[in-house]
Amino acid sequence: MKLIAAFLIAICFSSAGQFVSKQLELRIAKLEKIYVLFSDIKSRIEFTADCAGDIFSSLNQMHSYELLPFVGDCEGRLCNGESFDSAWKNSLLIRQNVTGLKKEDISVLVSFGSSFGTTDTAGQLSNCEIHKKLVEAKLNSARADFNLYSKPARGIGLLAGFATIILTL
Amino acid sequence: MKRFLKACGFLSKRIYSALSTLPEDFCRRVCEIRLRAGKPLSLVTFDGCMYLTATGRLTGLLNTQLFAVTRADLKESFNRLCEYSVYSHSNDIASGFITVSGGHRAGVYGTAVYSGGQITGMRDVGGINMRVAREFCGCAQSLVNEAFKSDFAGFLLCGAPSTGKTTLLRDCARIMSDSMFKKVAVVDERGEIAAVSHGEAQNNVGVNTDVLDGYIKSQGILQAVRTLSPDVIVCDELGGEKDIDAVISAVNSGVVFAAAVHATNTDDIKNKPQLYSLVKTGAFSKLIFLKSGEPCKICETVSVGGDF
Repeated sequence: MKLIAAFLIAICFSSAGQFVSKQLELRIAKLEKIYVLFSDIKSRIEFTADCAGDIFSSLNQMHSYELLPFVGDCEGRLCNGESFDSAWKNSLLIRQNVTGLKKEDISVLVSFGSSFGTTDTAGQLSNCEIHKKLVEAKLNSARADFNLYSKPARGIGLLAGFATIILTL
Repeated sequence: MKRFLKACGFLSKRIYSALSTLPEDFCRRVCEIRLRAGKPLSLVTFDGCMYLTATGRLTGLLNTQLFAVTRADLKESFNRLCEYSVYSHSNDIASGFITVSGGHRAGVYGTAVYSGGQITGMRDVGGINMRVAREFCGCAQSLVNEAFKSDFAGFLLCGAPSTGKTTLLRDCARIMSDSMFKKVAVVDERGEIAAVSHGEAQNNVGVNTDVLDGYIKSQGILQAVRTLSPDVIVCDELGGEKDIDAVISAVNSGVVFAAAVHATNTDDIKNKPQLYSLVKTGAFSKLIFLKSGEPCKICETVSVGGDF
């Protein structure tokens, strides 16, 4: 019985390490998608001048943004008559929509939404460009975090697991 | 009523709530909803101007407690009109109006922003004038009868603002397409005639009608001639120098024109050099004047020739 409990605790520690590592990986994947999203929005504004509803409707139909559920959520809210600012903010408030992202990443997204659609084309292109730069910085920091903490997190998890078994036995 | 409510849907939620409770027969008569910062909300009908009281009732008096439009209302309405995408409506804003789905047109004014001597944008919206679009199927039958009494030749519809020029042109396009089986091209620079939304005309302009939405009139006319081989070209508010050149080119290709201009009588046309030049192009065999104060009613028909 004691042995089984020790094994379970060891698995928990190891899984926790794996989870931390996966979260760091997920953050990178999501930030990369956000970077692509901003580029996509920028080109749509520049070449088609589609309005917010149309842009988000077509983005939502693309499978490449499945990792960013707030895109679809925002489109749904826009269809229900919510203003863009509120639809964007509210879709980012739902925790499951932004899992894996840090508060600082979400604040970049919120800032993008608050200025989206409020200026002319040149202003919007600059807005996309600025936010792409901000995401790029976050992406670099996420990659650095991954390199720095991913392996240690997994290692510490495993180590803690073994330590538990040894101590228990 | 549906059209009125749809137009109100582009205004702020507070204003929409206040207007959605108005009596149906009154809503049908409203042609303009005027929003001015810090001023009472006014509703313009063909009979005059009415205001909304703070309790949501209609009044013609200004000395009671009235429903006032706030800056927040204007900002929200402006964003709604732009579909939260100002960049998508930059040209419209620079021209001072935004056409929304349903063909309703919102005149917008505020503080102009200039760049290179031209208006490039606007800040601090000061007011919005929402013109409720109308569609009366059959209203142009008498106009068509009058215009094509002797032969199928072009006509120029002349009238003061709010005399129903666009409404008549729209119905005229439908009749020419569906009853006279003509190939019609509508050059709809401001989106008022066909009210195209996502590529589909929301007003009935006929099954044989092609709509060139958002094209500058002169360019749209030439493109229609080049690519659509129309029998008739319909366009609203002609008058620019380039428009005249485009009309001449199209007429040389054998196209008939059904167009509208702002003019109340023949003197008005003679006094406006560009309108006079337009009439002299030979594209129009008749000038049809509309009655002021009585929408879509013909007041006088003048054959072009002699002095014209």
